[in-house]
Amino acid sequence: MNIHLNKHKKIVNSVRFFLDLLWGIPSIVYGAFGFSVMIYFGIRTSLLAGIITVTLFIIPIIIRAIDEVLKTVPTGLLEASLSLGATKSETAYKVFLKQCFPGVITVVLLSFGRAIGDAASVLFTTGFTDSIPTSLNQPATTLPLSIFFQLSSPVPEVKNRAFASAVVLTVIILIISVISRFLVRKYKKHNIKF
Amino acid sequence: MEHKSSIKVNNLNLHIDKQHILKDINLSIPENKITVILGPSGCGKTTLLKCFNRLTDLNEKVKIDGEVIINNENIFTSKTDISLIRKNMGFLSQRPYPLPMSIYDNIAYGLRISGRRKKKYLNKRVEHYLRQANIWDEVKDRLKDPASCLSIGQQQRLCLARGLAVDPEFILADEPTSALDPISSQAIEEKFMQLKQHYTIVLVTHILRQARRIADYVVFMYMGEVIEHGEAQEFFENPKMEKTKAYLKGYYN
Repeated sequence: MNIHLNKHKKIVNSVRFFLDLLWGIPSIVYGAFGFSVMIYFGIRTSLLAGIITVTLFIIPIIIRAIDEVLKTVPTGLLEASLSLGATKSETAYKVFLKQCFPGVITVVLLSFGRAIGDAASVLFTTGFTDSIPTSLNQPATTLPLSIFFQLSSPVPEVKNRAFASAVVLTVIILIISVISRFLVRKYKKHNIKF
Repeated sequence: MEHKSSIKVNNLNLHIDKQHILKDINLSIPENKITVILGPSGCGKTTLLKCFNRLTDLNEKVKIDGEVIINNENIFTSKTDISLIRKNMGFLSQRPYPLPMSIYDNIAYGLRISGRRKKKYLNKRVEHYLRQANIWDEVKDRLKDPASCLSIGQQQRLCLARGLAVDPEFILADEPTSALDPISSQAIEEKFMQLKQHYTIVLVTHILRQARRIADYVVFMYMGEVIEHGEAQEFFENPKMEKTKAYLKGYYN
């Protein structure tokens, strides 16, 4: 990817600028945007709509962060691989990806963390329910949202459920970060340090 | 004395943006010799070297006129198969850049991308090239270790082995010893002396003594121009141009 980006500097810089802008937009704006699109098409809140919204708002984060990771690869490595007769795509997959893999994992999991913990963007788009959805068209609830709604309930049982959700959320995030640590350590040993 | 020459440069001009980096270069580089390109920093030595395997393509602002003829073919035509040219040239950069994989895979990488994947064959070739670069004894017990755990000197020899593994005719070396300790440098220099029987070596350096030690043919560049080129002995003992004399006396350093 970045191998090609060395050319076309102007286009690249403007794309980077827009991605940075998109990154900076608060997730509630994405939620509102998704909501207004849904109203336009007359769709009701559903799991699918929420998934699409969340995807929309983490895509700029992922792209831009991976871009940063790739930028750290020195051109010498690129030249070394190319001068062995490798094509650009061979270099990208076999050399760059290997060098960047730990960074890419970190990025993906970071944005996953943001997505799973985000409440605002799905507030309007997935709606709220107490039951587990059985199809993509039904409303659903993310863990943070359910904490938010259940905590404000006067019924103590429901309140307890909020704490349960909080535990589940914490455990999920813990597991993810442990896995990512493990993967990063496994792949980091081949990395060239500069 | 006329040599058979395998790289010919005709009226090569290179611009980056508006800067004129290489000015009207005309050269022929003799076969199976060590040709040393000498000159102060920033005179275009490295750029000239990178023209030979078209690494200059990486920068889109580079504009090239003129031709570089390798084995009777101009490499700056659109028909040129760039990977083929690059396979034909082992390239050693200033600092070693081992690929982010094991020592074994570093050597096998070049072989694999040219489509040779048989394990037995690879094992044999890897050993052969590591021996050629005088590094076999140091790494034979840890071929599976990441290449990044080697010392810089070892890494540079590994890069040499890697370059040889794609079976080139030329070795392009861009100040290959500038980051190395004296002993590693010596090892590389000695290797070059042995290799020149089979390869055409083009070496960029700014170390005069190194050039005296190993050069057969010298090209002196200054400010993007080739000031003088000729047989090493003739060049060092009897320089013709004023600038060369001054450089040899050390005025530019």
